[in-house]
Amino acid sequence: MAEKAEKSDDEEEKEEKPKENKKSKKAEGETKAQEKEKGNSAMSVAVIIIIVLLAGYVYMGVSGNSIFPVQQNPDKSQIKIGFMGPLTGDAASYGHGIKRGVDLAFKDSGLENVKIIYEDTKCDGKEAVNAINKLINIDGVVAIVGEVCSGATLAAAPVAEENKIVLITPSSTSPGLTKAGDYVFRTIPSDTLQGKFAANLIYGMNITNLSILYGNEEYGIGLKDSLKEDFEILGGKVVSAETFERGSTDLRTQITKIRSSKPQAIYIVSNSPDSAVAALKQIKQLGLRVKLFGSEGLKGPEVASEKSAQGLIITSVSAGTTKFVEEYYDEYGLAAEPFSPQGYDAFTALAKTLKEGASTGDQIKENIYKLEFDGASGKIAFDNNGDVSGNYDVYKLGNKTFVLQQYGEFG
Amino acid sequence: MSLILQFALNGLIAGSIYALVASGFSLIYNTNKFMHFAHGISVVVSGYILFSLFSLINLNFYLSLFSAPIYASFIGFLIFRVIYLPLQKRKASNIILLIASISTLILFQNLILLFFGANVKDIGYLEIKQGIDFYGATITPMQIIIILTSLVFFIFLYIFMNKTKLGRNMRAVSNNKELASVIGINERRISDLSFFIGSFLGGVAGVLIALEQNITPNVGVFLIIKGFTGAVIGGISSVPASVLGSYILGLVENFGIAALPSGYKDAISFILLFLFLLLKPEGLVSLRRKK
Repeated sequence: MAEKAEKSDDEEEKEEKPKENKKSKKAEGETKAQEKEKGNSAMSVAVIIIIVLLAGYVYMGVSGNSIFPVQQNPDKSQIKIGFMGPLTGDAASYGHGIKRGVDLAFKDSGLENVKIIYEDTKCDGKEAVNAINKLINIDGVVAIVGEVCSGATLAAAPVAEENKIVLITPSSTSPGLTKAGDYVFRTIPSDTLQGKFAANLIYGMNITNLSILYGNEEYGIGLKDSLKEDFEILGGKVVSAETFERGSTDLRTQITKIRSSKPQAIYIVSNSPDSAVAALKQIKQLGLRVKLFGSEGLKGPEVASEKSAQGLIITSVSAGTTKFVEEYYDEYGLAAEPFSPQGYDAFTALAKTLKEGASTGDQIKENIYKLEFDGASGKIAFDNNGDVSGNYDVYKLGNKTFVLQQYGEFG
Repeated sequence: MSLILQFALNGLIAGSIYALVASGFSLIYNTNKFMHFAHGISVVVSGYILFSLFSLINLNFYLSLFSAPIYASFIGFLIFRVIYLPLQKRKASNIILLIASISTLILFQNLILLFFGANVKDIGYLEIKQGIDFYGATITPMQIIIILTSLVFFIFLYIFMNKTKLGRNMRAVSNNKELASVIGINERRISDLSFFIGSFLGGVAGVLIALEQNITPNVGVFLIIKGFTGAVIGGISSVPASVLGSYILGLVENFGIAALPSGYKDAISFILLFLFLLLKPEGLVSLRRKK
């Protein structure tokens, strides 16, 4: 593919060259400047067309939308739902999985007159604030599914609150989100629960010296804090906790520090597959032979196919009911991805309120609190903080697939 | 003791990659006098070409390995010819070129995302196993190759710049463009060459990092920031100084977080960048002072 791209660059260049030559050979005098200007403007038009085309391809690629969307009876009563998540950047694989879940829920809801508007936020707080402002003020959405990363969701939450628009996230697990406001919901349980679950699981395996390697952001810090607290309540000791910037792939010094603290196990919290894969490789390279655990952010295809990750134990929220997994496979030909059932449930929750006749942010909010349904990730019911409770599963990575384990006595 | 050695090795490995990127960046800066941030593309393109040739088309590994940086150098050359040169002909200022280079970087990053997706790509040629014990520190053969390869390329680059006519012409252009063209050096050809060689070095960094870690569309942006920082620390107006600065950056980063909490890793490099820009913008090795 890259070769192809290169070839087309080459052609472009060849096309441009004769123009330049022509330009330089033009006669002198008054006409010269004009001609040159003409030549220049022709070329700039060509360049603009190329850029627009390329931008169009990129747009189609990231959003899966057609470049010229066919307007199907533009109707003023059409209800718009926003979606924001990372469709590019290092967390894009989560964003696409969630988007597929949302699209599937949209299809299943049978709602007509509803349109989803997708915004790419790259898991970045600043971008999330821009996107939510655009969705609310320009597109006039009544509710939003998103953001994906906790930090970005927390950044967008005040805007949702201020405009009285429901923001429902399928994947942000930071404990900080519990108190983020009345209009902020999530279809994934808070990390205080996962921290406790993981602490019990690890301590139950007779491990008392634990190291935590976590991403330096809301999600990583939140889960690290709750895991550390619960693990130490149980009587264990967190001997070291090292952090890394999301997306960074050189974690050797962090791992060297962990190695010198001599833990029995490492728990990795990451929502960046790049960093997770790098961490697992470098742990092995640096000769650290300990039990490896990870948060659900590691449960993706990249980590699964990484040879040095085999044996990794993951604590994860529900990966979707059998029915959902089958439906997802039928629709996309893919195994259910991380957070796609939660994305499905987030949209379903909104769809249910719309079907009940809610049409403003306030009505949707009121109705969501009353909802109770069996979703793709299990039973969904929101508490007063807009949180759901949930069960966790334990997966072990073997043979490049995550296998569900029976750890009934925990959690 | 072994811990200090391990930190030093970690710093050297990181520094080697930074230095390869910085050397190309600085070479291009010196001959053309503008910041070619799109240099990150040659790193990332080279990694993806290795991935495509070896992992997708199943070409011979060594053939893929050695051809990837060559493709990268062509991409660098094309960026110069298609994007910068027309702008320069219209007397665009360096700021315009800078903006163009950043947009090119973003454009290519997204093109790669479009063609290959956001997933982490693993070349998967080398088996990941525990490294060799080296006086209590651990280093893998691949990491030794990284350190040695970069050293070999720097020696070649040094010989080329100082001992060959072409290299001397290149230095002449970087010292004084007008004077160089007066004595009959074809400035355009030197610019072409600088993009070829600079992008090739970036491409080498790309294949090394693809083999050692993995490759994602973001690697280019990440490395160009580090390479730029390294070049500023050493002194961007000299290629050897940029290389030196990059090694220093790698070591300072890794020793820094050995003492401080690891969350400060990027903060350390940016504080360093900031301090140098503020107090010693010419870098550690100042060429002017020698005169």
